[in-house]
Amino acid sequence: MAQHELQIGPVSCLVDTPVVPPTAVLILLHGYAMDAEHLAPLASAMGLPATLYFPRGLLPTPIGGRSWWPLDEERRQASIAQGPRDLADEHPVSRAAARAALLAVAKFTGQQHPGLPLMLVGFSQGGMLAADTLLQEDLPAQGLMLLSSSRIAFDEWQPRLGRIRGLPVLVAHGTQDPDLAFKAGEALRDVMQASGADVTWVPFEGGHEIPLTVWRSVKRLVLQIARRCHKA
Amino acid sequence: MSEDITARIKKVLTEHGRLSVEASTLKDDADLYQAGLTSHASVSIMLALEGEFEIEFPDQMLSRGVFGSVAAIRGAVETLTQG
Repeated sequence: MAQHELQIGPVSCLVDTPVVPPTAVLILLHGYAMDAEHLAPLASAMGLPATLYFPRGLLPTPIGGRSWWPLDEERRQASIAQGPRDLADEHPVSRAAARAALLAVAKFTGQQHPGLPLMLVGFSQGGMLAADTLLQEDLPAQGLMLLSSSRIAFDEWQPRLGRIRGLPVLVAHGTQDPDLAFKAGEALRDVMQASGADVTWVPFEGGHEIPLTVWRSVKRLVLQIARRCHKA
Repeated sequence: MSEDITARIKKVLTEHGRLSVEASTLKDDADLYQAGLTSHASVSIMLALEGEFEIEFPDQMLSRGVFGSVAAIRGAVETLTQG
């Protein structure tokens, strides 16, 4: 893998290019208070024949790293102290800007890699952004992977859920997640299944993290989708 | 054969281990965690080793000890590739 930095519109991106010709493109979105470097070494270690884009969140956070939309850190900490959360009723501000940023990256990848399947992988807040964008915008992705994430703005999602019919979707969540409740992951799984998505459910014993078993599942699904797309 | 496996393991460590020392200079029994291997990087190592050797580490092998040294990794890889 060769790594370089790229500016796409308002988004700074880390890009990993495989040594072999790529058969897929992945956009991997980090979570709150993280950055591209948190995901890049792990995703690169999957050794996929894919070009990996790691956009950096638009905003710095008060506790380090970056985010896709601002959070009231005090309110967030107080909420976590009450127990793990399901954010289905939350309507984060500045989501439209985050969606526009993701769309810009997706459009760029479409121009750079015509004909290759595009998949979105999002951890935590990154997963919320991936799902929100796929449901609310015109983003032609062939796969969606939601790692330790949650529904948001569910009232806005509901009328648009038909868009993910038949889409391969991976939902992974830790049973001991102290931030986003395991039940939030199950609810995400259920709504994807009820909407007709082709869901792979990966529960794991662990917290707010991406363990080996989840990376393996991501790798399998990416290869599966890429094979299917190239046969078609 | 064993030397080939060792070289491939060291190549993976060089590419994904983010160690504080050059992996090729490590003795086989050197403690990788003392050489700077973090738990975060160890997941990268496991993933890369699985790809390199076309194996899958079973849950019972996912312990700190199995990835504690080149020799320990080699033992695990040999067990799985001969299995």
